[in-house]
Amino acid sequence: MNMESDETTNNYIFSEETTPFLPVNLKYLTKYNRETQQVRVSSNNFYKASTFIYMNNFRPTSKLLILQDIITDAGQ
Amino acid sequence: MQANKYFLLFSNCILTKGFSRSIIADLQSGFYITITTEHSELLNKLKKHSIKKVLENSDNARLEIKSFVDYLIELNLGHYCSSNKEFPPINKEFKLPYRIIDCIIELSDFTYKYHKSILKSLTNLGCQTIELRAYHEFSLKIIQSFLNEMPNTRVRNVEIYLPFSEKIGIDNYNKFVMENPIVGKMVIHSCANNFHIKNNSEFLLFTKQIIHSASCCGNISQDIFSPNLPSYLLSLNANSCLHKKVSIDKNGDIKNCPSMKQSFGNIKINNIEEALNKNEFKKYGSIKKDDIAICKDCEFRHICTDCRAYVENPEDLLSKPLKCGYNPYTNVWEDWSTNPLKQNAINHYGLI
Repeated sequence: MNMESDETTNNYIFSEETTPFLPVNLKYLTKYNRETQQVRVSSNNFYKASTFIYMNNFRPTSKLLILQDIITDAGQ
Repeated sequence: MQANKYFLLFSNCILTKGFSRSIIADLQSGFYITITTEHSELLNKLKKHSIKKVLENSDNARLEIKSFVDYLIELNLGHYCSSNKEFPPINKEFKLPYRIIDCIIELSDFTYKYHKSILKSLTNLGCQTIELRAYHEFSLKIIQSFLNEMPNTRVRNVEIYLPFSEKIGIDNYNKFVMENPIVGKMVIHSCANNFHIKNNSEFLLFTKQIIHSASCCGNISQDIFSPNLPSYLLSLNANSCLHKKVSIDKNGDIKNCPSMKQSFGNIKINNIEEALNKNEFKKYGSIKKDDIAICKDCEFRHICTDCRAYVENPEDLLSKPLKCGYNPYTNVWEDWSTNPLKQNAINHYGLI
């Protein structure tokens, strides 16, 4: 791959990335689902990536959720 | 260190001073760091004078100043520059063309009956985020019919809260989220204590937390901090929770927030625009964090989200949020529900 000519494009990032999080646009984090080929912005606050006015609300819409009670695949 | 130069924070990295410490919030990358009051004063000196001059006036702290500046450079929070006039602060005005930013809808047969007219009104008002909430079992098919209307609206993000149902099952929740990309977050609450999942998804969250009514809302913790530019500007200029927010409760009552008692009409006979024009409705939207007791001394005030539904003193409009356990004078987080000074308010709202 010619990194010099292609390194600023998303194609370069997608082809090289092996982790689920992709630095598509500067510091912003998105998640790429290989099965559906969808790219979505990661959820508000949960991954400290809360600056996504275009897809998620920029403020918590409500304050119902207590994150410590969320069930994870690694246990709580 | 480049002694002849100035050291400035980037314009999107904002220093907020609290009573006993400060934070620098990077509004572009979405994170913050805490620093001491002495360090925040040092940053103010570095903004006005060259590094060389600051060092000359602080003989004993040379090494500390150097390591502090190196630390901020490493975190990409600041930069050296030849003049301190070249990087003006960001404009602190907050302007959005929409009359409504987000809307909370409690799911019921009643709100479902009127969902098309609700969504039409919200579209006219520019609403981009909708939260759909159910405290009891609710059909995914009915929620799907809400979502099917979304392409005709300006909504870009739907957040859903539903109690877990064995009848639906994990696979169907997963399928539902995958088939509806507009769903930015789906929370399945009230899961059993022995509930297990195989794979985590950011869009589909399972929690054992029991969300039985609107009284479960208002929890303030570091988890809800939003270090981003619109949130920061909103907090400087208006109420970070209720400004440009509207809610429709399960009976169709139009409110600021489902946790509040006061209603400004019912969707059966009124439209949302009428409610927004009432002065009483606008009352909470203009309360800034800088106006609120104790919050105004908190270093997190401009990245936090307020709550006016549950406050420490229900008689005082500018009282601190009840469900916040942070003490900005000691910098300690504690369980708000066991604080003896909050028990009167907890009983007032019937929270426990």
